[in-house]
Amino acid sequence: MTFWRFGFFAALASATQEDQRPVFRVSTEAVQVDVFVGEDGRAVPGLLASDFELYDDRELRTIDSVTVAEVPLNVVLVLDTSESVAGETLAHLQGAAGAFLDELSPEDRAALVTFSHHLSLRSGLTSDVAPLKQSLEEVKAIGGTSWQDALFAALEMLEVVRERPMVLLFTDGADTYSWLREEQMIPLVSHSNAVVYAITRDERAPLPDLQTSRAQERFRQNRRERIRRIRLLLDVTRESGGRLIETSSSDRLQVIFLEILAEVKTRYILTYSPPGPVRSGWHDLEVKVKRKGVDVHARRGYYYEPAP
Amino acid sequence: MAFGQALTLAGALILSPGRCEFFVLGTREPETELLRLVNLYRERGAPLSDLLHLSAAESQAFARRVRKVREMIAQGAQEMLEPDDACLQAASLLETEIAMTFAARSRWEEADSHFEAAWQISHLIEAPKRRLPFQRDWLLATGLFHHQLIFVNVAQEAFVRADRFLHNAVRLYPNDPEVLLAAGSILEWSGSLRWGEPAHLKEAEELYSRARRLAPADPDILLHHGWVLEKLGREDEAAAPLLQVLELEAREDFLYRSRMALGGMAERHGRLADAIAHYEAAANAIASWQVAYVALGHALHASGAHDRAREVLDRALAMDMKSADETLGGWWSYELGIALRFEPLFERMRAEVMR
Repeated sequence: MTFWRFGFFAALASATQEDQRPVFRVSTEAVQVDVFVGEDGRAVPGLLASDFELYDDRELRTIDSVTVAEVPLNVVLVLDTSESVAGETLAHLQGAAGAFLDELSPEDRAALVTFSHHLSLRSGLTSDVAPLKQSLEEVKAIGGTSWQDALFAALEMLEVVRERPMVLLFTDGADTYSWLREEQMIPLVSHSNAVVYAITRDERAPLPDLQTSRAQERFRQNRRERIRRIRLLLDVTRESGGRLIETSSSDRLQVIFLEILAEVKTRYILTYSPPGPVRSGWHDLEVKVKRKGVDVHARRGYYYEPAP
Repeated sequence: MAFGQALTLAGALILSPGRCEFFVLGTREPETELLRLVNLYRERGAPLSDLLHLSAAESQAFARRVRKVREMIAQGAQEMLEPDDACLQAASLLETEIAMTFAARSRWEEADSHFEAAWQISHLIEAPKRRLPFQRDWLLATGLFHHQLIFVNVAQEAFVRADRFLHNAVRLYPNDPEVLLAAGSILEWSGSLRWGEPAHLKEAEELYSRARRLAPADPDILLHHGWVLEKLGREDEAAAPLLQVLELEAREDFLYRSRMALGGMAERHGRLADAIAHYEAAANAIASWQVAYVALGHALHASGAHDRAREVLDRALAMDMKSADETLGGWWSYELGIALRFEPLFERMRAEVMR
């Protein structure tokens, strides 16, 4: 399966303060697009601007620069601490998130949001991982699941961040308590600059004894529910240029967290300057690489909002 | 005396101040064992579990004895010259306690059997005028208890059994708005527990309509009715009961939930200013419930007020988990709220019987 993934954020040259929302202004701004290029699941290194083609509303743009891993990361860890992760899964999750934090560069920043039926900001964006890890250790598993609300809160936190905003979401089950509905998630991700990676547990159970109609019904219901949840996570991550990873066992979480970090560090940031006035509203984006057999993962587009 | 014999004998309750006595007709032999617990219950004024510190085995033994009381009282009712309502009330409550004991151990069939017995005994109590305060509470408690049974069975995916309890409750109390409300709320959200199957919204709406005709100014019923109408896509009709809740001097949690529902409808129709106003009012009604801030944050975000949205979300994210636990998470625990009301109600009933 090919995922589109890349990130977009508009960088406003004249605005440097983080408490201002990035505003896309013609003639003073550059557009940055966060792209992952993979081949057989591995990052393809060493690409130059001349290796890419970037289309904004089907118009080919000239790429001004390509950078890799030079721009610090701003990542919000959004972790499921509902009752279903109690025990071994929580321990694995804490270990995985801790290892992820340890591997960040000194310039990178991270924040921690946990969710059950309640959302908690354990730590705002910081490059000091020690208190973050301390918060991580204090987490307890209780209550239901509200990952949709938690993702919204994380995306809103990242609205003011221009440098490589990213969400790393782990959830263990279906959303049971969010106020926000499924259909509200894609527009939220579309309007955000953040790349969303998600990890969820693959709950594919062995085929049960389906001799009774009740067992068959239960099996079908389980499958429908699981498909619906996975599809939403898939759509959310794809829309943002990120990726969904399923794992059958929580003891693989640390490997997955670190793989994601390594992948993020190999993403290319393409910068280009749109010529002339920019139309407000949605812009389709397409990034191509002039090589055969590679997957290009990038955001599908962006919204341009004129300054008020 | 064997249990089988007891079933065949008529009995009588002899009025004695402060005590319940039972004699088997024809022998005048007091059945002190059978009534010991009823008297103990009345005299001590304590819940059954406190009286007996029941183990599973004790519970079964006790249940057998109480079943005997029930049968004999029921049989002997025809012969009663001066039935003692207080004794019958105590026996009825005792049955209810037994039912709760079984329910706490997930032994639903036995629990239901004892509730049925409690219901039968309660009908031995004299004329409605005399029994109204107790009877009303008891009926409500039974309805709520059925609600609990239904809820737990749905949660355990024992849907057939849950449906039976539900329809039994509605059959027993066809004109009790509380029971109709409780049954409706289970129908309304049981679908979500059935792994994504649609809830029985139409049936729930019918029950709420009936309840609303019986209690037109009950904010709980109005709220549920508005809620289910909205889920059915009948939003024009949904607004009226929700707005009526605001006009009543209702509890703040009703105001909160009504505002949240109205805000949600406004937001879905693109009336963001209205949505924001409703969510703000909800947050003002109960400042410690987080969801209003999430909803408000989203509406502000959608309206382009990003700075305010972040302020509101910052406030939400800084909220103490403890407050959420205490309220069982705010609006989403609402359906459970009905069941949670059972215990204080039962305490009131117990106190009344002890008097």
